[in-house]
Amino acid sequence: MELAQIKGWEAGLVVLIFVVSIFLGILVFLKNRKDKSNIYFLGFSLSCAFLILFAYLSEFFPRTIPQLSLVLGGKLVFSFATLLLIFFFYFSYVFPVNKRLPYYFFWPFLISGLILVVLCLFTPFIVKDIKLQPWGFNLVYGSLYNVIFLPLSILLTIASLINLILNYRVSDKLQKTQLKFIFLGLGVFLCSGVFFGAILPLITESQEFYRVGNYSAIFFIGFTAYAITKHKLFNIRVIITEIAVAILSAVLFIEVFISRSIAEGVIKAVVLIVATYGGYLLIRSVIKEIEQRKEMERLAKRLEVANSNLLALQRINNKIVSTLDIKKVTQEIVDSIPRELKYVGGFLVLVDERHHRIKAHAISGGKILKRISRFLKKPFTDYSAPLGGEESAIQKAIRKVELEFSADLSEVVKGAISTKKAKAVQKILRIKTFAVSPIVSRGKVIGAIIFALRKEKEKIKDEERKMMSSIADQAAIAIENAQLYEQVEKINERLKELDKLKNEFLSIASHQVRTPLSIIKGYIHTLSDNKKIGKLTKQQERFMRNIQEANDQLINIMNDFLNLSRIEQGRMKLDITKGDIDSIVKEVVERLKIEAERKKIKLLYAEPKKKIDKINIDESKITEVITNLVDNAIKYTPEKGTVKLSVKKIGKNIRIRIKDTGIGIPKEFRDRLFQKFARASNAIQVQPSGNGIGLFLVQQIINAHQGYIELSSEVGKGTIFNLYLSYESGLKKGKEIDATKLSKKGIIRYREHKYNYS
Amino acid sequence: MAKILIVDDSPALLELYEFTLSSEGHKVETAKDGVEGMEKVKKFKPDLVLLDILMPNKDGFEVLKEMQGDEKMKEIPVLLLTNVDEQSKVDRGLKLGATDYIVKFQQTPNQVVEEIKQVLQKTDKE
Repeated sequence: MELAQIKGWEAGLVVLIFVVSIFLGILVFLKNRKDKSNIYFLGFSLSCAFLILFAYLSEFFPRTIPQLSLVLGGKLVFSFATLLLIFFFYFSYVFPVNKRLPYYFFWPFLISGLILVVLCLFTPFIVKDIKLQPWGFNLVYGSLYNVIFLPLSILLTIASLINLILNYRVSDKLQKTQLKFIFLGLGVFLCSGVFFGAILPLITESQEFYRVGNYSAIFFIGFTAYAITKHKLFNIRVIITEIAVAILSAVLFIEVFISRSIAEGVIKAVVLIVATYGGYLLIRSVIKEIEQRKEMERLAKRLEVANSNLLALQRINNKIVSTLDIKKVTQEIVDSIPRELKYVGGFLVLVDERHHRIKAHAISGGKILKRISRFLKKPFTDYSAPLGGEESAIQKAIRKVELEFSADLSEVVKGAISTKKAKAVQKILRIKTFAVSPIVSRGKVIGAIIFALRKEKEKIKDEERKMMSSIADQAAIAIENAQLYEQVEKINERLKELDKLKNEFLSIASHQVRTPLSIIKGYIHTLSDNKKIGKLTKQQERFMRNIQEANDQLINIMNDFLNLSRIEQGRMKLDITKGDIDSIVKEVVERLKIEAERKKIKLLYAEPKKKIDKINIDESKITEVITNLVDNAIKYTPEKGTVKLSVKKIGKNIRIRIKDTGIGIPKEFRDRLFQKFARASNAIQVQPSGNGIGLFLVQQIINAHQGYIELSSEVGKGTIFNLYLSYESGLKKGKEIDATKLSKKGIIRYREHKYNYS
Repeated sequence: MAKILIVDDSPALLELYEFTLSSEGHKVETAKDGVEGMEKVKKFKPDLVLLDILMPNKDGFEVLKEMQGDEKMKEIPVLLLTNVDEQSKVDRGLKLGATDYIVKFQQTPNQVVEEIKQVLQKTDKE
């Protein structure tokens, strides 16, 4: 490049820097006229602008203007340098934290600065003379240069830096970024200043390039202006784009400046305008993109908050549903307040409709409770306030069914504790806000949760309000469940009581009924069969027999009832002895023969071929079982049918078989057959009476003996009952059995084979 | 042919047993509660007592206890008349010195007569 071109470039650059510095200074000033930082910035940017201008103009002086002017140029440079340092010092004090510049800094420096300027301009003490050099000139410094100017400038520089550093330490994040920019600009300026002003001359032994160091001040000014004004949008992409556009515009501007012809100048000006405008649009789109991204980040953050709230609610829910005890549920709810929401704590109240009061139910525990416990003379749950009295915040929330806020505890719990106590408690816990959330269950307000926070109402975010309402909703469900469960438990208790009463009643009634029954039995026997009374007529005999049968039936029913109640109370006791099944069956057959004959039914017992060994059983109960089954067989077998019994030893078991050609048991009825009070429909048709307890007792007794029952039946053809008793039942003489325990094998089995029932 | 005392609070039952037993030739006295029962034991000096358990004015257990306390009365065989079939109550009676028991609603008067015969035979042998 030709020297002329370079010179031209430099001239353009200087003009550019001058214009831009003033422009930036004014721009910043206009942005905020009141802010001192902006004022001081204007000051030092103007000083800087003129400093650079005069530093450059000195270049022309040697050729065109007498020597005095050169000295003047130098003096002006140092004057402006002084002003610049002072303004910068002021700026560094107040930016960005907006401290007030105290008068003991402001006035001394200003006065000494002005004195220095005067000294500089009008006396030779600072800048004395110039020495012409082949490439330009060197300044000759006065006597006071080293004494006043140099120390002062160094002091101001260091003090400014210290100010900035101190301010950095107390700045928030945004301000710190602003200061970082200033440091960056300062760094660039100082580095290049040092390099071009000190290092390069040492290497090349010429001061030709020292001005470049000065020019880099524009960076400093630019960055500082940026730091002051664009304090919201510090993003590296934006900055790079802006710098690129700025450099491009700068270069184009200079090109305009050094264009050799008007036409060229106009073209370049047009290019400049287009490029600048294009750059501006580019910067705008980059900013927009950045803003959008920031918006996305904000939304993502909100989503995250909402998500963590949901998780917290889930955690609370898990804890709440793990119990149905209302005390535990409410305690869990209030304990979750400090744990999940990170508030101070909270408490829960429930509405007592019956007594028309609001009752305290639970309070979050831990340190909070300990600290206020000295204010609570009685346990927390004893506190209550009348419903509908002076309206407290709690009552308001309940009435309006809305989240209510209050900064005053005494307003919240009006009617429950005194104002003085409430204020004291609030003070100790440093609570700023109370939030009352009503608990609504099935359209009715059943209580409220009161949250205690250490922040102001305005700072409570929307998400927090939603959380509080959600927790109240969860509380509603959990409390409702707990209350329902309580009811269910009460009902269960009542049912158990009723059952017990029923059993007791049965017991007593059965006992009492037995007395007249036994009397009737006795008299009938005596009337039928006593020498003194004499013989009865056939008819009388028949009638006596009928009465006796009816009476026996009554006795049996009473026995069954008693057994039933005893079994339900788990009190079936077995009187175990070595029993002979064969003789038991014989006895039963003997006893029921008469009845079978009357119905013209053949009652047969096929005696076992081999002798059956005795087995540990409760004889009377087994007798009862066999009697019951044979009785049933007779009852449900039509005339001319057969009932056959047999006893067989099979392995370690005895099988007692009762076979009949009766009406059979329908499949649908099987499962209910052995239940209490169950009777098949066909059975009811054949034999209307019959209490249906018998088979239930049969099952219980066989169960208690560790045996099992096998059943086969075909409707219209017949039924077979096989009773199995085991030699290895483990029953011992005198052992008491708990009838409610089931035997291991399962009591009733069904066999599908087609049997011959006759 | 023995002296039998029947103690029971049911007059119908007393009449029944009195009839049955006198038909067999025994001499029968009756008492309607424990107090009267004790008096008659002392006065009548029976060979056997049929004793109900549940009675007003002194129940069967108390009568048993008192009889056991006396040298002579201890020897008299006692058959408990009862409608309870809970083993525990019967055991208690037996422990208190009763010889045996009769379950009223299960046994017929003839069976009672038999029972009495057996008991008397046993005591005669002793």
